[in-house]
Amino acid sequence: MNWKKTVSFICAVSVMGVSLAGCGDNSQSTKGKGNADGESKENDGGVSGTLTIWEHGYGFEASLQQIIEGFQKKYQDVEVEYEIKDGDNYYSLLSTAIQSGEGPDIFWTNGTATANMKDYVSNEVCMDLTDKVDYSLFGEDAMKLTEVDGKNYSVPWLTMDTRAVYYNKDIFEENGWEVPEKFSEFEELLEKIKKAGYTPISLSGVNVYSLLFTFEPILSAMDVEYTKGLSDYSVKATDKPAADALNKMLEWADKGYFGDNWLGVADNNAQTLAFTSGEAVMDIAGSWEAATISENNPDLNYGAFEIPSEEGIRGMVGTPANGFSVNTATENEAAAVAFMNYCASLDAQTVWVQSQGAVSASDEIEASTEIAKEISESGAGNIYTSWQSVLVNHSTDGTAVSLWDEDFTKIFSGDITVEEFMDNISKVMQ
Amino acid sequence: MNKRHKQVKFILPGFIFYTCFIILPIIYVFYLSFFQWSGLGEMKFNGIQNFVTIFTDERFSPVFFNALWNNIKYLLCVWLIITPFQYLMAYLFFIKIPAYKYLKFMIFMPYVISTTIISFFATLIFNPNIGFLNKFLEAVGLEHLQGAWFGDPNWAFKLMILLILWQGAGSGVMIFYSNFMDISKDVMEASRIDGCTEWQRFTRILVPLSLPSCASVITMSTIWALALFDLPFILGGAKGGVSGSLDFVNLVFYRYTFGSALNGKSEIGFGASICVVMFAVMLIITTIQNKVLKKFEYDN
Repeated sequence: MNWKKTVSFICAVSVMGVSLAGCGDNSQSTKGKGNADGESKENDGGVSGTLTIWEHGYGFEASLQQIIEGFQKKYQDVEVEYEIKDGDNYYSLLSTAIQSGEGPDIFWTNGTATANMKDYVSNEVCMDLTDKVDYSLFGEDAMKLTEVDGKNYSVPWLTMDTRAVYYNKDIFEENGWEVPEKFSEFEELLEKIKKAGYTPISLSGVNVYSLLFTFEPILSAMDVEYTKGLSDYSVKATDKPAADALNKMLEWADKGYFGDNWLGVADNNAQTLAFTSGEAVMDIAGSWEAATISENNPDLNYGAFEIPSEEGIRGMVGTPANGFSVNTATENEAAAVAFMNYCASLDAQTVWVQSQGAVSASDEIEASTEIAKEISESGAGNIYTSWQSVLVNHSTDGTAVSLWDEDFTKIFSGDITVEEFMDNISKVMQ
Repeated sequence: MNKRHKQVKFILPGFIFYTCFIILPIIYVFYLSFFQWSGLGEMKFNGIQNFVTIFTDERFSPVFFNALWNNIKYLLCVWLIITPFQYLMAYLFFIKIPAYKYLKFMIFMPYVISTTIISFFATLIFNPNIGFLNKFLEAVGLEHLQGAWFGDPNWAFKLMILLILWQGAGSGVMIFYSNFMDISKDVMEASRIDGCTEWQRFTRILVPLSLPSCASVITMSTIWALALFDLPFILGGAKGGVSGSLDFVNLVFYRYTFGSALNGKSEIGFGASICVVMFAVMLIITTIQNKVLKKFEYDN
């Protein structure tokens, strides 16, 4: 009767396996390993051991692999493993892993752009890298992302995370439309596109970031001086120009410039799809979306520009991106710090910017794609602070960005007015 | 004594497993609900402040009660629309209506497709820009009927119920149908010989003999209704759709626990207090429901 016991055991194990699998998270996770290619090591300083890195999206996997490869040419005795934790619950997974003592040696955060890194710093999870990493490559904007209470806790990437208007060149050519030189021309263009039977701008009415990435370029075009003032907080985030830009978006929504039923566009993917399928003529989105647009429709002939002000001034809203931090509980500090220094080098930054096909935030690094160069040229060297980052950095109790996150979509669904929204935000701003 | 030892040994593994993975986590959630804790660092004792926030905070309370109301609306739909529909379909299959095999296949097929794929189908149909429905309405000259669908608070909830009816009906239909097939053929034959009409057979034999399966289906559907997450999350996003039309308590829990909706960072303690409140709501509903369903039980 041994076979009966065996069958029972296999069944029991299978059932338990299925039960436990049900307890798993719904994020996508991939593990990988960097491969040293056997080339001679240049300078490893006696550093060895194993490092584990967590990255937050599959879009960064190929770039990370190249970075690890470059690092291992210098430090052949360091084995580097990485895990991609794709999904909305990246931070909850990371916090749980760190809390249980199973956290990675190195992990991505959004720096000071969100509250997570500050929270980790206050709980002594992030290592102080101020005197351990050579930050000479980075400018003030990039360093702001790494800094909490005057100390640096991460290494930024010199990819310029900006917003741009992507436009369908073929439809523009067919209809004889030109890239606008003034804000009023941009509005006239929207009207012409609408009359021609197209959706002028593809936009999701329920995705808070899609709305933000459209709002910020409109704000910068409507009031350049105000937008410049955001960088040193000489103007308030809730001042009249910000309300005017939101009202302008509502006006455009009423005129059908985002499509007649745009509140039903559920997310950013659906927004992009309407542009790549030719239903919409323009899509205002992050500079990093260019890769997705090309993947969705490789034959799409598209370009990008920044919305001009009435005076013809263009600029890019955004900042460099943040990269990795080191876990204070790492058992291999020497290798972790070596990795961070490698990330801070021009070689690594060039690899990252070019493999991402991103807009470069450094004069020393050339963008690798035409669309990135186009965005960069259109920005004409003017870089504006993100309105949303002002909420993060100048809130009295850290809740301004939460209020924005919860309420921004409600303006467009008509649940609250622009004035109510601004009033709520102003109560928790410095 | 020896027999007792054997009984203890028999239940011990299950008891330990159940205690470790079900009972202890529930107790821990109750414990956490009295703390302010982001998941890292020191836990600050907060007394009943988390519960006070849930019930009185001028920003959070309306969000929570709107989501709870959506859960209850959905529960009512389960009781009054979805379960009767499942019962009716099972009965039609049982009496072998024309093309019942094809219909059975069509009802069961969506059940084996994952919710994510169902939601993707829904996007392909209802997306206002690229979806099939608006394109179709335009093609047949009914542009005035085009809509935002899941972006329209008047439509979103109804469409979600339709989608669940299409996707989730299979399981209940299967249970009811099995129950019908299990009814003794002798009883059915006897009723026919005695001259029962179809309606009499349905009301006097099938309905009373299928009450236990009704109890099972209603119990399972109720639990599912109060724990709904995936479908509204994909259809309306984490914010619960336009004007909270697709917001459910599990979505609120997700936003306020792992997101930064409460105070700019994740808040495990507050999330635990939401769980405790929902635990109480579920306890009340299932207690009432069990009292009603007890009447469905019968002795074979």
